[in-house]
Amino acid sequence: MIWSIILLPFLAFLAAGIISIFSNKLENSNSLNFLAWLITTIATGLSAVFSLWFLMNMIKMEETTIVYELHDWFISGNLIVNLDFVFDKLVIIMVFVVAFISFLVHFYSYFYIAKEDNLARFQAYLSLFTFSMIMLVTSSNLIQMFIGWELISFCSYLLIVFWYKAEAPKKASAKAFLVNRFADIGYLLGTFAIFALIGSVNFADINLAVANVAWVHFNIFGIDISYIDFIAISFLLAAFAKSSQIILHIWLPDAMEAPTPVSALLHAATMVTAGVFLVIKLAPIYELSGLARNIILVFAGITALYGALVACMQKDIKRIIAYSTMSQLGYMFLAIGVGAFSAAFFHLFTHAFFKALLFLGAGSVIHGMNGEQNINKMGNLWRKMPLTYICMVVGFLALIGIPGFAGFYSKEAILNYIYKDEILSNYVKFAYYSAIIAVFFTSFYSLRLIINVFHLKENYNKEHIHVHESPLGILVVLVTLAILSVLTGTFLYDSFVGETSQFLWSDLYFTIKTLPKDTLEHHIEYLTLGLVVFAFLLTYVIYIREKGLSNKMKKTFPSVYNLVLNKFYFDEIYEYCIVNPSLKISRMFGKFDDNLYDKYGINVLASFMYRISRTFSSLQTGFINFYAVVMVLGVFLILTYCFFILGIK
Amino acid sequence: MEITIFHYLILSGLVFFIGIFGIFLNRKSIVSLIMSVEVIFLAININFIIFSNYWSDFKGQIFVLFILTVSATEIAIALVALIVYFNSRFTTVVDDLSNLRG
Repeated sequence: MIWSIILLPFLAFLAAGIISIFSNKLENSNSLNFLAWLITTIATGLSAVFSLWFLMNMIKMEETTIVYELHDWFISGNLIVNLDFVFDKLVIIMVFVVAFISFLVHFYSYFYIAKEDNLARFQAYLSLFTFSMIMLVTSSNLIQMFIGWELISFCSYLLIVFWYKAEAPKKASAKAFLVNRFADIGYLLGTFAIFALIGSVNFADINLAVANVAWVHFNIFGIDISYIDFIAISFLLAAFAKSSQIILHIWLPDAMEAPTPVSALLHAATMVTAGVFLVIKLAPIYELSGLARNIILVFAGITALYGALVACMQKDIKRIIAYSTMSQLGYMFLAIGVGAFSAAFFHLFTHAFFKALLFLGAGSVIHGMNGEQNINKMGNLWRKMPLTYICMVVGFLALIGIPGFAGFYSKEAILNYIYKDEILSNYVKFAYYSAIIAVFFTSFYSLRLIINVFHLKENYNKEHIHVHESPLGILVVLVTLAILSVLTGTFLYDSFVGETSQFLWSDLYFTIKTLPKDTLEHHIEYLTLGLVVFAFLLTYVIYIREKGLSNKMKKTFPSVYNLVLNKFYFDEIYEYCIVNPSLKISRMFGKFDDNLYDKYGINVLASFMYRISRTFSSLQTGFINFYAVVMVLGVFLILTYCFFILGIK
Repeated sequence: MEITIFHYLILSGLVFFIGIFGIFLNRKSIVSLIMSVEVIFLAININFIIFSNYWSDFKGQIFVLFILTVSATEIAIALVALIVYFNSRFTTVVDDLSNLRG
C-alpha cells in the first residue's frame, strides 16, 4: 500500500504520457484525453485515500517513524546513500495534502483546459509534479530529496510553458527554472557541509548528531564561520527560492502564465511548500543557529509585508493571489524564525486548502469571463456565478483570518508564538509588527478583489462575453475546498499546535511548544480584527463611497504609488544588475570565441588539413592506366628492394 | 643455336612488358585493355610451362590449364561489366572513365 502512494502518480504519469503521444496525432482526441484524465485523477485520488488511511493507522497504532527500504543507491567512501522512504506523521500529512490537492486539481482540469489543448499531456505533467513532490517529501536523505527537489523545478517549468505558443510563458518558465537552479547552489553547499560535519546525509542521523557538533567552526579566507550557521544559511537560500521569499521571489508572480489549475497546485501543495518543508525537516539545525533564525525573521517579515502590499495594486486576479501566497509564505517562515515549526506547518496545511480554493475559484471566474484576468474589466459577477462567489468569499475570509475560518487559527498561532518568544530581540519585534501590518494589507486586497470582481457595475462588454456559472465539476471542487477551509482550523488546531500536539510532533526532533487555545492572547485577536475592520472600511470608502479618492491619492503620492505598482522595481533592478551584465559578458565571450579561438585556432587547423588533403587527392586521377602504372612500379620497387637491399633470393 | 631457358624467359618477359605497356599507353578502348591483361596472363603461363619443363615437373602445366580457365571466366565477367557500363554511359573510351578522380 505504501508503494502505491508513491508509485500511483508516477504510473499515471507514464500512462497519460503515452496517451498524449498518441492523442497528438489524432484529429479527434477527446476520448483519449478523457481516458488520460480518468486514469490520472483516479491514481492521485487513490494515493490521497491511501495516505489518509495510512495516517489513521499510524495514529491508531501509535507508531512513530516507519522506514521502507527500497535499495541502496551508491556507496562512495564514507558516503552511503540509500533509496529509503520515511513516513512519520509530518511526512504522511504532507503527502496527504499534496495528493489530495493534486487530486482536486486533476479533477478540475478536465473542465478548465480547452478541448483543443492536449489535456493528456497536461495531466501527465500534473501527475509527474505530484509524484516528484511525494518523492521529495518521503525521502530519507538529502541526496534522495534532491531528486524530488529538482524534479519539481523541472515540472513547474513544463507546466508554466504549457501554452507554449505565446511568448510570455516561455520567459516565465525560463525565469522560474533559472531562479530555482541558482538557489540549488545553496542546497548543494548545505549538503556538502552537512556531510563534512556529520559524515552522513540521512535526516535521522543529521537530526540526532547535530546538537553535539554545534560548536564546530571552520576557517575560510581567514574568517571563522560556524558550521551550523553556514549549513542553515545555505539551505535557506534554496528554501527561499522555492518558497519565494523576497529577493528570490521574482519567479512566482510570473509563473501565473501557467494554466490556473497549475497555479493552484503550485501555490497550495507542491512547489512553494517544499522550501518550508525542507526547513521543518532540518528543524534542529535551525534551532541551533540563531543567526539563520534572525535572517529568516528579517526576510520573512519583509516578504509578508511586501507580498501583501504589492497585491493591493495588482490588476491581474491571479497575480493578486500569487502575491498573497508570497505573503502567507512569509508568515510560515516567521513562525520558523521564532522556532514554532508546528505553527508553520499548521499554516502550511490550512493555507494549502484556502489557497487552492482561491486559485480554483479565480480559475472559475476566468473561465466564466472567457479568459479575462483583469479585475477592472469584471464587476457584478455575483449574480451570474453565485456559488463561485460564495466559495471565493469563504476563501478570502480564511485568508484574512476571520474567527471560525481556517486561516484564523493558524495565523493567530503564528502571531502568538512571535509575541511570546522569549528572545525579545529587535528582529522578533520587527517580525511581529510586519506580521500585524500585513494583516491589514491582506484584508485590503482581499476585499478589493471581491468588490472589483463580484460587485460594482459591469465593466466588460456584455455583447461579447456571456458570463456563466462554471460547470458542476468545478463547483464540486470549490465547495469541497470551501468546506475544508472552514473546518480544518477549528478541528485540527488542538492536534497541530494545541493541547494534543505533543503526539503529532513526537517523532520529530525539535522542541515542541504547545499553545493551548485558552492561552491565546486575546489582544492580538482584537488588534488583528480591528485592523481587518479598518481595512474593510478603507476599501469600502475607496472603491464604493468615494471613487475619486484613489485618483487623488495617486496624484498626491505619485512616487509611492508607482513604487508599489511596479512591485518596487524588483524586475527592473534584476534586469539592470544581473540580466544585462551577464548578457554583456556572454556576448564578450562570444566575440572571443569568434574572433580569437575560431579564427586563429580551429579555422587555421581546418584550412591546413584542407590544403593537405587537396594535395593528396590530386593523386586520385581516376584513370585505370595511371593506377596500373603505380601498381606495377610499386611491385618493381618492392621486388628490387627485396633483392638488392635485403638480399632475399 | 640451342634454345635455352633464358631465351624463353626473355620471350615471356617481352610478352609481359608488351601487356604492361598495352595497359599504360592505351587511352582509347577498354576492350584492348582487357586484351592486354590477357597478354600478361599469357606471359605468366609461358613462364609456368618453361619452368615445368626445366624441372621436369608436370604440375606446372596442369596449373596453366587452371589459370587459363580462371582468366577466361574473368574476361567473361569483365565483358559483362563492360556491356552494362556501355548501356548506361554509351562509351568505352578509357579517358572518360574518371569518375573517381579526387
